[in-house]
Amino acid sequence: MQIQTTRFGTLEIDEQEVIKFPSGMLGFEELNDYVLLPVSGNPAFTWLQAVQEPAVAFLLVDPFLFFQGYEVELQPRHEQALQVDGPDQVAVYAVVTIPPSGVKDMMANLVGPVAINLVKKRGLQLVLEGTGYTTRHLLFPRQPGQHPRAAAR
Amino acid sequence: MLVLTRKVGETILIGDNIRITVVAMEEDKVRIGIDAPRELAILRQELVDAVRRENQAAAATDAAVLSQLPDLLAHQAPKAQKAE
Repeated sequence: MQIQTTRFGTLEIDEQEVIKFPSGMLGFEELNDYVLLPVSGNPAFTWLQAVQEPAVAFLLVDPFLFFQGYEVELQPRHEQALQVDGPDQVAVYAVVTIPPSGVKDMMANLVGPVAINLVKKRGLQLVLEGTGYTTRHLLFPRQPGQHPRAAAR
Repeated sequence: MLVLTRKVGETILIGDNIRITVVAMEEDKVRIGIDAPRELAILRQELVDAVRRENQAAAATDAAVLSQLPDLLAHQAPKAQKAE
C-alpha cells in the first residue's frame, strides 16, 4: 500500500507493517494506524508516522540508551492491550520534542512512553504515574550526569 | 457531576470494587486513598494533559533538523566514555 507523508513523500509500505494503536496517541485519538520508519545512520531513533495523516509523525528514541535506570513496567492491562503472548515482543520508546533552539536541546518524554508489540503490531502510549520523570528530559544534558535531567519549564 | 460532602476518614463507593477515602485535609489540599482493581488506570489529570501537550508539539517535529544529529552524537560519545 502507498501512504502519503509530508516529510518523506509517498512511501510504499507492506500492509503487514502497519501498527494498530487502538486508543491512538494522546491528543491524536482518531489516528490508529502507524508505521515505524528508521532514521538512517541513527539506530537510536525511529519515526512513528501516522498512516491516515501525512503531517503527523513522532520522532521516537530508545530511552534506555540515554537515561540510565529508566524503566517502564507494563501492567497486565497494558500487556492485554498489546496482545502480548510471549517474551521479547515489546519495544519501548520515548517521544522526542525538538525545541526552536535545535537538536542540541532535544527532549524525551519519559512520562508518556510508547510501547509497541513488534510481533503483533499493536501500540499503546502509557502514562506513568508516581515516577519522578517529566515530559521533558534533555537527551544531551550540558553536563553529563548519571540521572535524567528535567529541562526548565 | 455528582458533588457530595465527606469528612476525613469517610469513604465513597463506586460500583462494586472502587473505594475512595478522604485520608487527610490541610489548607487547600485533600489527600485521597483509592482502592480499585489493578486493571483500572488511575492518573492525575494534569499528567495526562502534559503528555497530550507534549505530543502535540512532538507531532510537528521537522525531519530536516535531524541532519544535525550525527555531529551531536559524535560530540557526545567521548564525554560518555569519560564518565564511566
